[in-house]
Amino acid sequence: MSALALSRQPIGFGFSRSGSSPEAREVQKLTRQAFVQIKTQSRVSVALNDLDSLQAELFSSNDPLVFKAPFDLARRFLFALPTDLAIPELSLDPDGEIAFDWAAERGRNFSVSLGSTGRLSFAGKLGPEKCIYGMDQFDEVVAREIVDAVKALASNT
Amino acid sequence: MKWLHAKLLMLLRRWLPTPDSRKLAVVAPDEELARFIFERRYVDQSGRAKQGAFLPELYKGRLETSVCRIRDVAVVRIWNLGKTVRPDKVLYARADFPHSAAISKSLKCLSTPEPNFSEHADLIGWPHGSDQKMRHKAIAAHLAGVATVSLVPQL
Repeated sequence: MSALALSRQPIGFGFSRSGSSPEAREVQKLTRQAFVQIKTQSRVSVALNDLDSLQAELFSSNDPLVFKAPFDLARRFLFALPTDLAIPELSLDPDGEIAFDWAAERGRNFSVSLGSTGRLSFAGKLGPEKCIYGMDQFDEVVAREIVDAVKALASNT
Repeated sequence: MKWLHAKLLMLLRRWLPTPDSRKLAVVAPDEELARFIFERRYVDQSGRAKQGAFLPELYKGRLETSVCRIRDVAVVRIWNLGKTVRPDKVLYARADFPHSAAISKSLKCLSTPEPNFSEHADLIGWPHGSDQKMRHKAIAAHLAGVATVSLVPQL
């Protein structure tokens, strides 16, 4: 697995920063959008490669779940994740749903399972006494509850 | 003689444990259990167990998760059991957790010994219903959070 190394230089590097005309500002805006898009795609590409690997592993092991697992939906789910969210690890549940897994210190974890109908089942242990779980229907947008849970995991609270 | 035969059969049935009666043996709450992990992807990059490792499977109409009772069992035997219990799979790791963690989520562990695997047990009591997946994941999240993972030793 490989990741595209991106420059951490500020957006707009190499372009004129002194321009204040509408045209200059428009160029700057378009440049910023292009950088954000590239950054997003490279982050997602790591997970997409992992998804391809998962599919290949199932094929090579003649696992019948490969025909049940919703790989196309999973790709759309990955693209729908907010750009500031950590990229999940992937696994396959015993029932053929694709799981997106996040983990943190002290046994904290959160996972979303995606079924072939687009049903999302999620649950997590966000603290010693804090557990959450729920369901949602994936419709190209990732539910706020899921985003908040992953952010809570990352915030180390 | 028929009555004697029938009487003997009745007594034998009472004395000899049937597979069903063996399944009624509940594992003590203070026992430690191990879940054998055959999928590399059920252990995350930091070496922790994922929820998927504990999710139940439907077996003979019952949702259950197979485990191994490891109290007073030699480490070598635990690994050997893991390596031989699924001849079609390669053991990757095991996740140890206290039975009490499962009990706290309303699961129950029943001893279900198998030939050459007397330590075999099943976690049962998984919720049923249209929302069962999220409830299963909630329990699995708890178990994953308390489990200690050991990768299979390379000899």
